[in-house]
Amino acid sequence: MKPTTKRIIALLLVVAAVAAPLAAQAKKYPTKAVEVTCLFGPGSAADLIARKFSDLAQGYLGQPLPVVNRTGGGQAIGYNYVKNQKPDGYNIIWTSNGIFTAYYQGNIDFKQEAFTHIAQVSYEPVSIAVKYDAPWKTIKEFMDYIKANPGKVRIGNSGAGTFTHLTAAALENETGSRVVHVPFGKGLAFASLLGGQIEATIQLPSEVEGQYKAKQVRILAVTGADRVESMPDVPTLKESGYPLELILWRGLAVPKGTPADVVQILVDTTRKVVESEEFKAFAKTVAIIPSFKTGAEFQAFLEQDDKTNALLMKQTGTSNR
Amino acid sequence: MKNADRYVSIVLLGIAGLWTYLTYQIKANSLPGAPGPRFFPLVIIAVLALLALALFIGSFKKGAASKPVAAKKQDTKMADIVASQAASAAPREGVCEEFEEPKPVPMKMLYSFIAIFLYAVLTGLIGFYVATVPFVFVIIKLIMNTKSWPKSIIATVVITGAVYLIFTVFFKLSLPSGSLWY
Amino acid sequence: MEAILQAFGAALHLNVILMMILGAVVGIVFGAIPGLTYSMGIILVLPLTFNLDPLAAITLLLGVYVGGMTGGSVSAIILGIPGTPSAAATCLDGHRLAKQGKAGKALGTAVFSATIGGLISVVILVVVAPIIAKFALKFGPAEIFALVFFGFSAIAGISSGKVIKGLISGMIGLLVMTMGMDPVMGVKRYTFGSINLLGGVDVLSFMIGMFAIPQIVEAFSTDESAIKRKLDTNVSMSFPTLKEIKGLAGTILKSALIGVGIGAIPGTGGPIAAFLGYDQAKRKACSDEPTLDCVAGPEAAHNGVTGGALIPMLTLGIPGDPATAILLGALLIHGLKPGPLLFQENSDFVYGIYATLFIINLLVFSIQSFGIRFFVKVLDFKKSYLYTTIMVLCVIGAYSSHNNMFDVFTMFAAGLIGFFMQKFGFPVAPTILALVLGPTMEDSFRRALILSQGNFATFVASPISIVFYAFTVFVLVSQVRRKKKNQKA
Repeated sequence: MKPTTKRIIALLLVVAAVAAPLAAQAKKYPTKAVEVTCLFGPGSAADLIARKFSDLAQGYLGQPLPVVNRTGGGQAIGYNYVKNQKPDGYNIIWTSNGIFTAYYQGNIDFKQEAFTHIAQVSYEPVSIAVKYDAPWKTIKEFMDYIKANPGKVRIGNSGAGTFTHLTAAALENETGSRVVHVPFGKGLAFASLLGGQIEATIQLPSEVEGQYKAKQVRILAVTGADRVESMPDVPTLKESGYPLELILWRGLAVPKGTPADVVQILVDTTRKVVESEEFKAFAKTVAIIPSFKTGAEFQAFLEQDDKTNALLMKQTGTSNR
Repeated sequence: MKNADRYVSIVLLGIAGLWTYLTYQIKANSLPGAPGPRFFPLVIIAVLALLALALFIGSFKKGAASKPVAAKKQDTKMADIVASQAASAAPREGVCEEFEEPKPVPMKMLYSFIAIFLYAVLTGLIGFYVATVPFVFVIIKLIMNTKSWPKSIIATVVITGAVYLIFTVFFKLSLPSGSLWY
Repeated sequence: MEAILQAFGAALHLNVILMMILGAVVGIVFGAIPGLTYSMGIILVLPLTFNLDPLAAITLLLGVYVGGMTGGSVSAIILGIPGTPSAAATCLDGHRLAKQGKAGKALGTAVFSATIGGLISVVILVVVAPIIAKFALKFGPAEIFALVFFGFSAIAGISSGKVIKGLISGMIGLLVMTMGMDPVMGVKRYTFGSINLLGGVDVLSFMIGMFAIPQIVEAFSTDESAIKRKLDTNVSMSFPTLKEIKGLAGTILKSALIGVGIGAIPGTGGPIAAFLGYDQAKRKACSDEPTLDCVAGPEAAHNGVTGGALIPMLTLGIPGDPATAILLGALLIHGLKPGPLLFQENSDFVYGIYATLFIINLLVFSIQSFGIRFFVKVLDFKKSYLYTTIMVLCVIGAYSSHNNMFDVFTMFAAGLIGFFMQKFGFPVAPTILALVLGPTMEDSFRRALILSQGNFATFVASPISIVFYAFTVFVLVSQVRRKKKNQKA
């Protein structure tokens, strides 16, 4: 072969050698469906949010993100399942402060460190609801009543160790008094409130909006930093003089060890979805507040939440560690 | 049947005892006023023990012999054929049926259970559809003795294929893909 | 009046009708096939609803719901395997009737009673929903306990004469349900270190295992031609005659009301209503022979639940049973918030729901009646193919309830347990009843005490509770009387 031809061939080979892996990489993540685990049942707020998110994310990622509900064991089963999956980015999980409560209840042996966290997607304050004809018109009146009647006031929550239980516990702390915490399952707490068997209950705003507007239920306060858009005349705890901020947050995570470039793609996609108009409009319908946090900011947030949950769980006697 | 009752009641008493032990392993904390996690199980175990005792005592009663036959007449609940066939070597005592009762072959029942169990295990290991093919084939050909090989194979393909089309393609249902592949 | 006419007008739009038909067919099929349930059907069609307009979306889901509830009786009667947990009660007498060659009549009675039950529940829903909702709220934990306790006494009725063994079966069921996380404290109970057991035993998988697997194993192990004869494949459905209907009317009405009531109480659902309906019919029939009443009862009852469960869902936003919980979610996605506001701001939508629900019941009746002949043709397939397919579908059904392989093993274990229970003469139905009632029983008992701070008087504090305890005593007494009568005979 002539030397020039040899050189050309060599050059082509080098180019091919370099281009091949580049071409392979051009087949970027994701190349197939990404399974998204939701720790709550179909029809729940978490499920609705997950499905909407998947719907929007598919537009950016080009692959479907089917939502798979893995319920049970106080979310332990789902967390455990995803933690054990291959860290290749094809298994995502919706997280919330449930990861801490599940840990402190002793149902899982790991906390947030077992996952690589993508971002926070939203948060929801909860509301403190009483019947409309109850004698307390403001949160202060209610808290004073609790102070004056230790062990008498019954506050419903959605289960021992759940976020609503911990919120009630935080309120109890503020009063320095004692409250009877009554655990319920799905939706039954609210039914009991309306039936008059408990004095108050902690509910997500979306669950009580209808009754609130129809004046069957009075919301004494919401627990976030700002007022809830669908309940503009309900003050926050802060405004009412109680320095408490308790929010239920939701985020996305993948098993630890997922490659950084895959994580980055997910972070970018999440950001796009959360900041999209469609998601914002959706958020209004389920009374959640889109909130995007990632990286170090999210890490710090998680560590803080860990401490808060640990403390409240110890206090309510629901901690087993 | 009466002897069987005797042994069963003893086994039940044993279970009651074992379960009591397990119950005391449960952490007993509770909210004020209400009984804790051990209460309900203990009540159930107590009732179960009493019932087992009643069953035990009942198995000695002579006069009760007429009752099982009468009860059998009425109790044609699901797969009672299994009970009457498998539990008594002699064919049905007084079960009035309108046609001859087929006898299930005990060995085949054992094989069936094993096959189902393996199916479950394999589904987790190699994935649902991959496991379904051998399962369906084994049942059709070996256990149910379908004579023709081609028919068995076609049936396997058709069944698995139809399920795949309906559930995975149309409904997009998520089914196990097998942990072995990871 | 005008609103109602308008509502029917809205309901008769083409896309709504299409959704009705699709939903009903999916529902009936899922209900009829053992291993698959209407809950699964609802979840699977849920994605389809996102891009539909609200009425069409809800119609689709309601179609699956009602279709599924009604369809369960088909395999319950013909195969002896209930298609849905609610059909377990229908299975008891229904299958026995089938073995006596009366499958056609049983099927006809079942779908007829179910439809009447469903229609009654729609009427009640429309007319008195708010009142019932208010009344249902009076059911606090103590009252629910009384109700469930009464329901448990139905075990005597479903044990076909072997009360001691029936109760033992019930106790076994109760024990199985205690496994997992304690409902009140969240403490681990009998989990043996398994994280999967932490979620407790999946009732659906257990039920599928207990009912289906022994049947399937038996079918696998029995000669083909013999099975063919056992299953009366020349079933053509026959509706009850006018005379029979007159006889059944009382049962159907009472059971439908039971169903509506149970549906309206949040936290209770189809299976409980079905067993109560069965028990109520059984007591009237007063014998151990299978009767049409005992098919009509559970069918009317669990279909009564469909309208009943919508009562708290629409008026208060509280789901009356797991399927309505999903319906609730679907409404939220479409921006509709159930509750008093829905009636004020979207009353035409609400009336639309009433109208479609009414039509759906009639549609399901027609489709199922027509479709039975096809289902029966399916039975003509070689049994090896049929039962193998059923087994495959059971695995799908068990896995899909929580997307957990563990449930498949639960199903298997339940199959073994069911097999041996039947072998030793233990009735299986009480176990199912216990599985369904057990958690609520414990739950409500402890919660009642938490609320009353340990005061046991709370259990007899309200007239509602006392009424149910009285019923229980009455039922037990009449059971004892009946036994004495039978013994003398």
